[in-house]
Amino acid sequence: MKFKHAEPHRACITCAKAIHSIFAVLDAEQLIELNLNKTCTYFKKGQTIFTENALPLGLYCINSGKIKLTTTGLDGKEQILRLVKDGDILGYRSLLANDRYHCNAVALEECSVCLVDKHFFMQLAASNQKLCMALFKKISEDLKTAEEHIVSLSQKNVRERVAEALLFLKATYGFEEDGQTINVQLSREEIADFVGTSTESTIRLLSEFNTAKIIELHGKKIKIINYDKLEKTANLMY
Amino acid sequence: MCAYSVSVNDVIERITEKLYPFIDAQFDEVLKLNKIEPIHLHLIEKIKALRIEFDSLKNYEKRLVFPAVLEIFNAQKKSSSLKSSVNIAELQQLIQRKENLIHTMVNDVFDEAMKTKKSHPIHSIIYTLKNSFKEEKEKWNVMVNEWNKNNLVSTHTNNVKDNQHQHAY
Repeated sequence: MKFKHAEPHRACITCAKAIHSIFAVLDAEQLIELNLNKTCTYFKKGQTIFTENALPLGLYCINSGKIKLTTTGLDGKEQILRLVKDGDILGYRSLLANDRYHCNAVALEECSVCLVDKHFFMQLAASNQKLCMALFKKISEDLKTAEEHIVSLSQKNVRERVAEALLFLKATYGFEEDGQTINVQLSREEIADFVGTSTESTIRLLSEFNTAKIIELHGKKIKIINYDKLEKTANLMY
Repeated sequence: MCAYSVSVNDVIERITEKLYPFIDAQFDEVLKLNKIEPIHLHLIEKIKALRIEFDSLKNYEKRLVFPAVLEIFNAQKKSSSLKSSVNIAELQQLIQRKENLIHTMVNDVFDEAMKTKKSHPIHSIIYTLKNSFKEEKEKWNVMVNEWNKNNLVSTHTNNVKDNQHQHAY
């Protein structure tokens, strides 16, 4: 256990966060029971709530503060999986799957967290259909978010594609004598066609690059004024 | 240089006329079958993302890279002194990064794709991208990089000769 400071006991029946959590489906009697089977703890900024590969002791309910869930990437760098805030529950995947934690939970700021006993929670979930459904809903929402995240990670966004198109045009047509203006004049429609997006999006993004001082737009002519930033925007890390 | 030009034509023709239409047809088959027998949403989204990336690569190659490379090679074949603004090395670098992204996406989807039944067309597209596509593109990259290296060496040698010639006077 990583608990460092005891926290005054918070009654679940009067907890404002419980209304927005999965425990909102419990009646007064069940909330009193829940109250008897939990401990409340306070974590300072940077303190670890649980670590990767540890066995779950119960379900964490965040009363206040923000927590980051992290893991270590192949390159050894910390990767944030997601952020959780007051009203959220934590550690339910490992608890329900009877598995070890697959990530670390670290307090991003001062946090007040309640830990509901593992056996009590499992019995409560098994006997309470409403709580079970609330858990299903929570898991389904998290799965949807995770899938959307995976899809977005595997796709280059339009901003990156517009930057990439400018790099291709520069490599093909070179610069004019000023060493900055791409030596070709293409309409916004033609650039959009290269990118594979709408003309509207292309116009908006070129304008954004112009504002960010990556390029300068002179009619159909495009001047690259910050090549490094354009390369970074294209996200050509492969 | 003539031999280079002939093989460049051949490789471009093989890629654009045979390999890419074949890959396109395989993608079409996966996406068409998905309407009748849907596979996991997660997997099909990854295949769609892979196709977007493949189409993007194909687009740049057909419209910019291949014509630019052919222009330079044909000019050399005719011994004409074409002053081209194309930066082959830079184009190759951009294309290879796009290819690397495709390979990463294929590896990412591989395990999950192999869990579908063996007759599913997703197996064919993954194998084509992992084998034929990779091999053909490697041949192309070696050829262009080799040409680029030789061209840079000959340009450098000519520049040195020119300098020596100027100094002699």
